[in-house]
Amino acid sequence: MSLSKIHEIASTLENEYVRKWKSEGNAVIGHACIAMPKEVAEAGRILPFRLRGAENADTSTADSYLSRYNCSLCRSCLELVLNGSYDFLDGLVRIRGCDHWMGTFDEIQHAKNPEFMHYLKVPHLVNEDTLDFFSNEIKRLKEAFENRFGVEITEDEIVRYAKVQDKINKKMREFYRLRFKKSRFYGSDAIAIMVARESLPSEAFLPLLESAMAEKKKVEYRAKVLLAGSPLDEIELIRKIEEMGALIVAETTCFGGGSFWNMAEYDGSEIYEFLASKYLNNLKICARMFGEYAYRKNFIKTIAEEAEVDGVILQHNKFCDLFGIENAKLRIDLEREGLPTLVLEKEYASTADIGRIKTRVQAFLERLKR
Amino acid sequence: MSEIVGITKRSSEILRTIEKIEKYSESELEGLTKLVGDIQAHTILSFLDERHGDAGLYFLQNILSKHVNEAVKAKEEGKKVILIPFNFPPELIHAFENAVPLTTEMMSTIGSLALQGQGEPYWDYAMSLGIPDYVCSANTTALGSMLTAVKGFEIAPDAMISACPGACDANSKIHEFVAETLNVPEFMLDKMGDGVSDYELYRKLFLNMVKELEEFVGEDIDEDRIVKAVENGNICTELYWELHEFKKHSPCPVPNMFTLFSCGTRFTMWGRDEAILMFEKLVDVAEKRLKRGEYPAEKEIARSLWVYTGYYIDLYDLWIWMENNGITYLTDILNSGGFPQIYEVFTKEDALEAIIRTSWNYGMTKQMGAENMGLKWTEDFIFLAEDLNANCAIYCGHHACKQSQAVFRILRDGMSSRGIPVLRLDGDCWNKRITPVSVLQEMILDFVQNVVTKRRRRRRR
Repeated sequence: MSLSKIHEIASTLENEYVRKWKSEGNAVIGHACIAMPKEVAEAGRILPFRLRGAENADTSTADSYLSRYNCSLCRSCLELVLNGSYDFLDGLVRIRGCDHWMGTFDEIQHAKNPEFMHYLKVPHLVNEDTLDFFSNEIKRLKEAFENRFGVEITEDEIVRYAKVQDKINKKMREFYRLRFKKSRFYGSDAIAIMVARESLPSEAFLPLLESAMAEKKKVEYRAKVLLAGSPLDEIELIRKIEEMGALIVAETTCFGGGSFWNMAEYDGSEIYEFLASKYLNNLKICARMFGEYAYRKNFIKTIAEEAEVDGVILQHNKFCDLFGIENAKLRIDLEREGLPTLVLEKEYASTADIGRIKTRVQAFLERLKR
Repeated sequence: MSEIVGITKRSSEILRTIEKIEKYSESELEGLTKLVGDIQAHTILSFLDERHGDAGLYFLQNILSKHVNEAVKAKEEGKKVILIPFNFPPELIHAFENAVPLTTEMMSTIGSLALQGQGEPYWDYAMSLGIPDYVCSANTTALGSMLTAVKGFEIAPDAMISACPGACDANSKIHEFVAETLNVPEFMLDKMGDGVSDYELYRKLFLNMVKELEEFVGEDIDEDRIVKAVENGNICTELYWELHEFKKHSPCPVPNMFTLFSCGTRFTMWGRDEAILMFEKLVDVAEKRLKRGEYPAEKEIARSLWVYTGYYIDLYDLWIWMENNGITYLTDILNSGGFPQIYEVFTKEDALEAIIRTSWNYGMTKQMGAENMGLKWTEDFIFLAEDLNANCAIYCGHHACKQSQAVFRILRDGMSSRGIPVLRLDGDCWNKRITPVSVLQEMILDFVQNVVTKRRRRRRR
């Protein structure tokens, strides 16, 4: 029952929980990266809502702002902003997730000039200096929220929400481990759960997750596969891949395990320093973080081993420099280490692509002798 | 694995031969062009065109050849070769006694202009490894070549510097790929935005990088050497702005290709005596042409500002061709985007601060590493357009430039609001297979004849 509720939430943007949240006088802000410290927003009764393309393939207006050489996920999101689908947001937090996202936020400002658009500067490197910088950036974000929304964000509240996040992350790990060995869930369910997490207040999400985990499904498959690469919220695409018999039992993407698996738990230290370390270190799973290739490769290998997968699908949207190049390197290295991989380049939510993707997945399954 | 020798090794031989050229007659030059392929012939004709005086030959012999051959020699002598991207000040590496810089994008340009098959074999090799075809040929061409070092076909860099995180994903990522594959250390910078704290972080990262480089090279940078490098840079900066002033005249006395000579020098030999001599020659030629009223076309029809880069697939049929058709190439982001400044320096610390500030303000880093790429890009090019009295702008539309492609609309709207029409081309600046030169010529001519000229006429009425 909860799983179908989760799928319902994942298939819409302004869901019933968001409407309720807003009706209580609370704000909702859009963002596009897992580096967004959720605790800070929630401590001010501000819901961090992650922008996504919601499987929208029509980018006709967005294409007159961004170019055809830009990522189709970004173009899809921009289209939804331009056509009013995101009008329920009370502001945006921009992060330089990549050049495409940076340009998308520039174009949103150019076309819509939202009243609140805060730039949270997230470094591309992890070291003492960047951690110190990011800690100050999180403080600046808190002040921006306070000034804009007239709320007070106390450290105690941030700590309280950090602990809520810890609980959710722990539960998510449990959920993933349920999928690893004898899965009762499809990958499409997992992606829907992740999408729901990014679209709901934490306190509303946790009971839904717990209840969904208690459900049992009969899952059939030919091979167990790990999904890695760029952000992916396309539940329909995963469904199509799984219909071929490639069961996705884990994701290292940022709409998957990448967003929580390595997330540190609150240790009682100074909260801003803790958050900087927590989020920047976790962000190493993203190809935007330089000097961390080995970390990402090992993350994939560790999860692949624990989940006992037969192969890895490395996917990215066309024109994604970060994951396009990273996946080329990963393919060489993972194959060399005995892990079969398939690099899948695609356009976001494009139904025209499905036939080609199916053929490639079919060929991959045959290669896996499944 | 490709069996083709890398760009550095191949171009080293060619450039050494060019170093032997002294005086030449027109018929000797013509004979030379018949010995080589079309592209090389066009490259020779464009560099040695008489409108450039002796600047073209000087650039080939003392800038390009020295840049490449010093790297080759350094390898032989056991010195460190540090691969740098175009948006990193080479003067820092010149300040070392035991290290030399080698600039990625210059190597791609050399590959594109001087080698049979241009940069295509290296690009193809990179593609064969699974690297997607929408990455940047400016760096992937040279880095594809560097990858052949695994089999000894190219000199391998000893270390790499990445100055693009925060300004260009494609550049940063392909450098990372090569550093990982060749297993060489990579030193990295990170630009967050335009504020004081952003600069402070950049400065800290830069100073840490200098320390790490000193350890890696096994030498503390000598104060006199680094101060001299910055002082030399100051002289070049003065000459750079002198040349900029000449560009304000119409018809423009500064040949189109001087933009290429200027930024090519900036990316390789800045901080060295050779760079000063180069800029002196550029200013000297421009001054003489102004006095003589020389301009190759009957009149200057278009004063074009290239808002990103130019095309380096055929200089003769683009840069020289444009000038012969009355289309002036005023400048581009590579040459002007950084707006060089003069720094008074007395100590090593002063010199480092000057170099950090220079690096922070570099073309592309400044615009695409800004908090709002579109606005900063537009602001800088509106300033340039007004300062140089440009009557049109051209965007090369390099498909790999996801950041500039993403905010082109903002630039176009900004420029158009000032009455400056912008042409958006679609091509690869280092790979002619994407859009042939003839198509680019057609589009440029259409734009100039049907948009720029008509506007001029309307204004006169």
